[in-house]
Amino acid sequence: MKKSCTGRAGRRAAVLIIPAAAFYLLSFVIPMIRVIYLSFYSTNFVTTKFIGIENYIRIFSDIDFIKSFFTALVYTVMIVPPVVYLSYKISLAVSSLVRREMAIYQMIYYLPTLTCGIIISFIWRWVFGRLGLLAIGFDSVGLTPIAWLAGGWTARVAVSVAIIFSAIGGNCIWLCAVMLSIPKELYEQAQIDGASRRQATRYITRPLVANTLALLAFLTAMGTLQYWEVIYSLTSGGPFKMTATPVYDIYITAFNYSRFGLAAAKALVLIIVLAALVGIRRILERKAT
Amino acid sequence: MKRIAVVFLMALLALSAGAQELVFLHQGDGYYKDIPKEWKVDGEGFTSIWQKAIYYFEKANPGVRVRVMQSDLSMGSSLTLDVLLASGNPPDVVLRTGAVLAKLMVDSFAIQPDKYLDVAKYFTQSGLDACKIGGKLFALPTEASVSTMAVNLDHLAAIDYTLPPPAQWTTDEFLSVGRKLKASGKYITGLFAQNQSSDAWWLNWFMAFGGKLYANGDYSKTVLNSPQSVKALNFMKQLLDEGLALPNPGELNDDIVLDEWCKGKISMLSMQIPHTSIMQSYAKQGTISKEFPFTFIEFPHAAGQPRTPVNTGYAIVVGHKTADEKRNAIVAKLMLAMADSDNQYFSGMSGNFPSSKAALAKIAVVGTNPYWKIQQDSLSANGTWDRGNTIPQYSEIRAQLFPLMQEFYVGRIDAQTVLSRYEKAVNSILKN
Repeated sequence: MKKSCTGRAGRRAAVLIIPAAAFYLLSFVIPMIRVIYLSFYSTNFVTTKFIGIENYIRIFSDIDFIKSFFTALVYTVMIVPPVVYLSYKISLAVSSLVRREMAIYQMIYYLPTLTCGIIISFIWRWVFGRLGLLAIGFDSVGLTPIAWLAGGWTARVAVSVAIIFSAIGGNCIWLCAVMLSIPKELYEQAQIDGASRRQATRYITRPLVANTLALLAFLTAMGTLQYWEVIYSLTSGGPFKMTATPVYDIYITAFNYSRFGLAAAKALVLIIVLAALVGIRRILERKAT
Repeated sequence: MKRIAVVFLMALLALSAGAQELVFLHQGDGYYKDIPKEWKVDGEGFTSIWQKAIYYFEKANPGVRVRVMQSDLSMGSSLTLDVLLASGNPPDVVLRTGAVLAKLMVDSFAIQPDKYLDVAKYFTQSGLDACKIGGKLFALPTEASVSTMAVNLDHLAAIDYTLPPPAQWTTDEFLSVGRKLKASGKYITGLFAQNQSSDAWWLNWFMAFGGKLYANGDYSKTVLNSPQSVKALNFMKQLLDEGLALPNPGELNDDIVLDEWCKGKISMLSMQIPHTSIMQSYAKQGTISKEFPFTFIEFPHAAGQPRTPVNTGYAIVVGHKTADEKRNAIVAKLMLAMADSDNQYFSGMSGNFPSSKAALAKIAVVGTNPYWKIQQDSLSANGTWDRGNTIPQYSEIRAQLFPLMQEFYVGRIDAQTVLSRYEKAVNSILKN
């Protein structure tokens, strides 16, 4: 039975919502309105000129920005399957431990997620850089080291590895929570029926976490459009602009090129793309159910 | 008692409200040789040259307080400045590399300091000229940084080579020395293209072959696309292909190549004199066993070309103009205090080129960096090349070349394609 939103209870609810609503207004709605407004101007915040939809027209001929969406697609293919697979496997192992051990391992896996992207990049630069661990390793066995950060595809691999490393932890927390919420009776019943541990995992755990895995895959894929910290410090978007994502491109347009109107327009285009992806997922979800 | 406390607090508030506050945004303290870690003045201790300059300014201008902020400098970013501009609260005075501040040098934003000060009394003409656009003075100069080739003399001694006189220092000679150094296990130089930082250090190669970024102050288009520039690019590729320059320039930046020079792995690198102080730090830390002897020489020039012009650039101070003329006059004074501070003296003693007449006079008395004369002679003989420092879109323009250089160095595109694409991109930027 739905409760009414009027009367004293409703007013109380409204008052309680005000702080969150104010925060949402200040941190999202007002900046969004400002970004939409800026997108119709050419401005470096010193000289400003109204140019209508010229920024949006310019985006269609901005090869670097269009290429960044392709790069995000590449990252989706390179990052999502390993993240989902590794998160699932690690969560399976961790969720079977006793509580204290589970907490320790969760903390270990979650630490990279908490670490800021710049530090993650520095760590992986020591691995993939020209004098890094991999170069030393290759050299020590008589092989020519690969210049990971000098080649387009090898740099994408380096960026992907750095991101996978930091993305697993958060997913593990979610998956562990879902796995622990599966009723133990189901596993007991399966054991009584003679199912092996593997069969229990395949026929009980996997189907019940499938939706969560799909959601994590989707969120990770959406994230590929938005990575920029690791790229900024590990590869500067290169080489050949092959590692730049849309958000990285927007950052450079705004803060290196001082083209804030164009950056605002690009940001809005990105928001529309993300919204479209969310919409497509919802439609597919509804069809599936 | 409570009433007295309240009255006191209100008075304090009134006093501070009455004090005029100016904001000074700077790019950090210089890493100059012999710059004191601390000054004591009138019983006050200062750890920063700016704090000291501001102390004197506030003393000379009672009722004015200066709040100091420091810029983010990474990858040519002007993030801090842009955030302040976007908020509608720009800094009153900002000090930064001239090229980054070019966008501020417009009538609607910048004070013309010669309306409030006798600028010629304080600064050299060349410094003031670097702060003019369309004949109008929109800033005050600080020191100019000058880059020429720093040479590891131990490496040359090991191959029994003596640097020739500048007139005979050609690119062919450079190649010849490079091959000898390679045989002795050293790289002659480093090229780098990971980002646009310090790009002027390798843009010099274009100038060595007679290339130019712009012609005769015409910033409506670039003229880099030329047969001379094709030769320059092919020369840089040759350095790589022959193994004379550090490999994989796509993953090298200025910090890395400077580090390699200071550690004695490469022999010659275009840099500013103050950068050599990094080697001294390395020796103290034990990264290198001892400092090595070095000298400076101008960039080599291609056969048949005049001697290569020198790369220079000024850091400048821009003041924000408002409708309040009294405030503008105070801001102009703060600009002078920041531009003509002790920073110019220490910078000059470390090897940069002050624009402050007072600093130059003091340096002449106490002596200057021994390599300063080499660079001064190169400047006098060869002049400078035009980087387009006063173009508002400078940061965007310089970001166009390094991705093309990355592709060029690995053979994905040829020299002509680099130049054609660069020309198209830059001319488009200059039109918008």
